[in-house]
Amino acid sequence: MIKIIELKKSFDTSHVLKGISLHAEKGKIYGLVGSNGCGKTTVFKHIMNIYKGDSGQILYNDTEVPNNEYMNHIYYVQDDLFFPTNYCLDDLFEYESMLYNTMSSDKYNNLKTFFKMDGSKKLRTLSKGQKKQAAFILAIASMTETLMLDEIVDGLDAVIRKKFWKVLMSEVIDRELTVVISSHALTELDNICDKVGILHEGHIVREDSIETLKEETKRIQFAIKGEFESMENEAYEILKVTLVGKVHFAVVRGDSDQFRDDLYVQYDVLLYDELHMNLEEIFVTELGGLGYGNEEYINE
Amino acid sequence: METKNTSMNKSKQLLIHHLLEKKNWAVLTLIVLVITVVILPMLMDTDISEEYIAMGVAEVFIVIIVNCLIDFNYLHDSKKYGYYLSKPHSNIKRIHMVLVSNALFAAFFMGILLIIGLALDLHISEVFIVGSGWLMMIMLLTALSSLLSGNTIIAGLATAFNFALPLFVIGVMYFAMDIVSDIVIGINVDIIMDYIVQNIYKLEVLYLIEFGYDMSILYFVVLACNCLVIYALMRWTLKHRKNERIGEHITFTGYKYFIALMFSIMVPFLFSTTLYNHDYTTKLISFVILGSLTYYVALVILEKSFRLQKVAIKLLGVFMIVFVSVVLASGFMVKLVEKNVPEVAEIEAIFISSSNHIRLPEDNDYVSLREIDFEDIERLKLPVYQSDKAKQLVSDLHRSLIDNPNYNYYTNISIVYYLKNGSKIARYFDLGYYRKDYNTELDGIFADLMSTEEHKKIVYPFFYKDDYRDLMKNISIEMNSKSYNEKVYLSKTEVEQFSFAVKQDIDYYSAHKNDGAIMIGYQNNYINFPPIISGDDYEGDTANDYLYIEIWSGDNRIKSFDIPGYFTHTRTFIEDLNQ
Repeated sequence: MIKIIELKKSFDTSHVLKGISLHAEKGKIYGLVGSNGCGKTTVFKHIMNIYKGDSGQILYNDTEVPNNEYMNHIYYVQDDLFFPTNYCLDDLFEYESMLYNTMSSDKYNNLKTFFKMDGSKKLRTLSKGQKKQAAFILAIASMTETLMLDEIVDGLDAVIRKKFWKVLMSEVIDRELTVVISSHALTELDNICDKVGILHEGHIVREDSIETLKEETKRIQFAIKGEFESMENEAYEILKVTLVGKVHFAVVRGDSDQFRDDLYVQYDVLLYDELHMNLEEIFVTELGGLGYGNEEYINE
Repeated sequence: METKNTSMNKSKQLLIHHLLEKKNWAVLTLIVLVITVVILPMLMDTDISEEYIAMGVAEVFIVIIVNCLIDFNYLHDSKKYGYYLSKPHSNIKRIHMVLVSNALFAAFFMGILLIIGLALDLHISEVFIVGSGWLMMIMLLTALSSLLSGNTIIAGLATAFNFALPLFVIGVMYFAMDIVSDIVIGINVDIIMDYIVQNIYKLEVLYLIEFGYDMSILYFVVLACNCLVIYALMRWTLKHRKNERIGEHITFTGYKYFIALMFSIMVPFLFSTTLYNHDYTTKLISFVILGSLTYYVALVILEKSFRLQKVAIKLLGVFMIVFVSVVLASGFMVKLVEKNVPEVAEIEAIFISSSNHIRLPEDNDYVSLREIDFEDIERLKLPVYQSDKAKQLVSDLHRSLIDNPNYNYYTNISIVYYLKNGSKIARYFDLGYYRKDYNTELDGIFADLMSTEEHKKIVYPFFYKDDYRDLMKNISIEMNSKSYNEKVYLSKTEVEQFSFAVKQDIDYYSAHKNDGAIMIGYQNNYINFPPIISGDDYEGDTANDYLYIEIWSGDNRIKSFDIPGYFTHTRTFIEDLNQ
């Protein structure tokens, strides 16, 4: 659906995107996660043709679209929301109905009721969370085939977030909606995303389906007689080992069965257990491997 | 086809929506116009005149500029820009919509003002012809400037800058030519610039002012060309705009440097106009120092940083070198012909005046000497030197001025040689004030020139040149003294009597007074006959016996004189006429 190939962008002397590639498929939810300031919003703005890349390609349905012809099919909710001055939600719906041929008033009214939003209230008087809901209602009511949601759940309370995910999942299932979403709420993304791209310092450092990521990277707890010395094998990579009491906790990427076999061959294993990691743990591990957030805090 | 229709319907709907959003502005504009164009004249108990309509047009201008800037404000706020750009209504369509809606808004109110003007039979065509063209150009310029800027206030200033850009270009040329004229004696920057503006860089055409009085198809051609150029620049700017620079003052680095460089010339230029200094080295040094400082200050403001980038310094350096080199090269090339004085045998006639403009006797038009050819001289019976003696004296004067243009008071002398081969050579001299070390040779030449037969014809053609006077119709004299203020139409005989009386007094005056450079050549309008002081005698004190006359040809004032007490013949004639 949306494919980015080797996109590069510099702001004066600062290289923000250093050749990123990603692929969001039709009817799937793509989670774009990353460290602060890694360029997530910049990626969104390139897809929406707000920024122009220095090099690389952006394809929509395998066709490079340099102008905004494909905007009919995409609804973008930006992190920093804007609503035209003095508009209420109903006014904005009316205005956007002129822009999107697919705008559904049934869906709009339904969502307004579901989120208990007052359509006649001036948007500028709403709280940050309410504004996010208003933007989300319009995004869903637009009935476009793709949604681009930048930090959409930021500022929403837990109840509303639950409602939000419910609506989003329902739309994806019912009408094969494609969603590209960025968020720091990784636990929640874990449950809904089909695919994740981890962006760090202008690079997509990992991009895979959630299943593959979880399958590939596991946390293994084991206890052995004697001391553990690192093992090496092309089939796997030990990312991190920590010792708590007599139990070792290792994060292993690759063939965990081979790791287990090697462990049993080389050591007298007293305890062995494989645990699935969640997205947040994978994120921390991946970026930790790149030296992000490994600093020790020394309280002087 | 269906997609196209849908798109057009969408655009139409959005346009109507956008127009409806302007209803508050429309009401406000209507109230302002009603108050200033209709109610104010009523309160002041005057009729609605051209001035009130012009004021209304100016108000529409302000409203449209403000509206355009507000409508294009989305280009200066990343939140708004992100919102509108993400919608299936492209940026260019949105810009078109803003332009069309504002054009309709302007047309509505301009239409109202036009109807009022026509209903009252007012002469307002030029206001609407020029005003409509300006409005179109300014709306497009607002779009262009808004794209070039990352901030709405700067966009407003950039609109003014871009609109005035042709004037800035003239300023740059003027400054360069001014320095050239300081290098070369006898070259006048005003004459050169006048020629450029009249014949090459026609500002009045560019700004449509020319068509205010003489509407033609060319008006639409020029307007269309102007609009097309601005529109093309706007499309190019839109395509190449770096939207990540929204929030900065200027989004295009090149444009930022261009503004800074323009100001780096304009400020030294304005500074130089305040000084009476004709030393080109001083001007060039002050240009380099003041220009660099202005450039730095302009960039500090535009970049919101006190640090200059290396490229900015390099650009300034290259620009300064190029500008100074071009000016010096031009100056020294022109200097090669500085000492060229035509031979007497080559000269057909010489026109001299203390001004580089001339008031024509026919219709009282005030035109540059540059525009007057020998055919005009003959047709308008303008007084010129044609005797060999005068030609030789003027050539001597020319050579002497090249050697040393310093005199004992400030004055100017314009010399135009009309050559026998049909060409002409114009020179202009600024005579500087040097109390002691002035060019004394000039005094002798002036005295010799004044002793020629032609001199009086040239200074007082109304009295001494019948064919010049014959071009005038309905000659009248307006007489102002302590006791009366009358305007009297003269018969042909009375005109001749009047001339005879004045000539007798001029003879007396010339015999007792050496005018020097001040009375050299054709005098445009006012002539003052100073008191004659001879030993203890003091003639011509007009404080108690004040008499001032103006000679009119129809509705045009041709000459005015202060008539001193020793102009007894003239005074007697005036007294008789008054009685």
